Amino acid sequence: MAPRVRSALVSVGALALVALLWEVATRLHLPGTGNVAPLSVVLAQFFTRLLDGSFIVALFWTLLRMLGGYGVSLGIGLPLGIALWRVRWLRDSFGLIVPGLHGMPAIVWLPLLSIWLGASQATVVVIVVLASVMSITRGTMDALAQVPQLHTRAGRMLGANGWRLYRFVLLPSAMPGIVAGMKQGWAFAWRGLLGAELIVTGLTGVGPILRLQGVSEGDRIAVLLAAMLLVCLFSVCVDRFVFESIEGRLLKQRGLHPHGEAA
Amino acid sequence: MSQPEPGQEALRSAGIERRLEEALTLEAHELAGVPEVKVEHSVRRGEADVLIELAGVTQKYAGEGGGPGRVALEAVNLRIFKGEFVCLVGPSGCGKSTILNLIAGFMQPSEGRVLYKGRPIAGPGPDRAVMFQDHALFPWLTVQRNVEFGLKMANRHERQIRKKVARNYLAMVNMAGHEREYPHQLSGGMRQRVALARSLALESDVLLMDEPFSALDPTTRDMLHEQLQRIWMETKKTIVFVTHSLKEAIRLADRIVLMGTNPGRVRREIAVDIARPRELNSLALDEINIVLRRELQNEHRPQLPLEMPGLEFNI
Repeated sequence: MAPRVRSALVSVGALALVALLWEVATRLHLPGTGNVAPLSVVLAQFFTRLLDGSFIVALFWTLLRMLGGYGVSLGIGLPLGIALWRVRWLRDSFGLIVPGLHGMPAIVWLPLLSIWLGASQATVVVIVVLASVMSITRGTMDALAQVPQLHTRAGRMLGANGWRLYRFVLLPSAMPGIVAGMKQGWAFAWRGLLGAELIVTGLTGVGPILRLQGVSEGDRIAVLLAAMLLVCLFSVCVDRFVFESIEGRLLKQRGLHPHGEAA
Repeated sequence: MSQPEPGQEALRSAGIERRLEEALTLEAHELAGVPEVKVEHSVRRGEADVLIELAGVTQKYAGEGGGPGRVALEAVNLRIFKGEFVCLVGPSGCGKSTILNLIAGFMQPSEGRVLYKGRPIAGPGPDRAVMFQDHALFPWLTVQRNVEFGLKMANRHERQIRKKVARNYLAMVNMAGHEREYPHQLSGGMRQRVALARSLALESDVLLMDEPFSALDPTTRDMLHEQLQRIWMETKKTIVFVTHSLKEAIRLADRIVLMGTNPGRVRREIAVDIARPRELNSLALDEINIVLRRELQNEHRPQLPLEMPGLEFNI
């Protein structure tokens, strides 16, 4: 059996086992499962809300904020990372801000942003930017710092100067590290975004569903779990189909294995 | 040029061997009193034929944390002529790679001048192709695109013509058919051949080679020596080749520049006037090599602690 097929079967099997335990435990009303809806009920909620469009609309708005904020982060983070790597006085003067901002959970900004911008789309989008921009900046900086001297020398010897050295040698050489920073930035942004959506009122999105606006008493737990399932599935999809696939391609091209030679 | 008799060749190579041996066995202080051997060239060369010149070049590397630095080269004078194949040979720490890096423009001399066509070298450029010890191919590009890279940077030729030029050079190093592969899919010898094709595609006057074949197995190396000789005879490039293998130097060079350590300097220059193409066995190179290697070992065993004071504890 091909290793890919086998590892797919193993993960499906493990998921099926968890699902079965969940369903049986809640149906038998085992102690401690009183506040857990059976999986079948959760899945029913999930598909109902997917089909009536409410999950789609919520995900659309959340994703729109995400892409807007993340796009701004890319626009700032990549050039900033290059500049900080290249220009010594910039690194000396602003160098500390990068780890400072990077280490701070973006949600900490929310109270201040609420005063400045109110409970608005802008507040949430700025949270997304603040959550992700330093991951991208740092990823770019660190990846450039690790470009082998040999690549730089070979590039210059072959006539790549100025921006062409960046365009054709430094950035391609640093690309795996830059993508790793982008991946981390996306994860941080996603956390910041849902945190902000949970708190900021008056928006449409996945966060407001988790706040159970207009959900009847009896459905609450099933809706919560269904919305969490949505968030979880979406995160996995982005990770697998966007970042893992880009990283996998980059590494494979260079003869590197994402999980080591053994995999 | 008429092909000399094998017997004559052996005699001549024995002469070179003796001169190399002499130079290697002399200690630094003994050398100081000995007048320099005049280098005989098969063709007399004048000022106008000087392509690369190092004049009074001293190169110092800064020490760790402001400590005493290391003098890689001291007061080195060296001229390299148009179309010449020069090998720089010497033990590690003699500054042979430093000379190459200076000519390539990767570093600037602490003192003295490094001139190319009479002008100081400001930085690296496609007029001086470099082949590194490690292939230094770009892992994200296919073989084809690696070889094309220099042409693309120079905006020379259309895309289609670039492709053809790259294919020609790949064929020249026997790498036709591997265009679409990535460097990691190739063996070490194949990668070095692609790196050679990439350097040749620049169509530069000068080719600088820094121990390019040292990591390869003897059979591959022998084949590449043959190809390199053929390419040099066809293109008449000026080649500066760094190696620590005397055998390699005797096989390839018009002139061997023998270097010494502590500080790095030129000890002796020896002309090699054996007819080309030189083949591995016709010259009894193995025998010469055994003798020379023994001498080289004798030369730098007692000097080792002096050469690398910082490494004494690791030996």
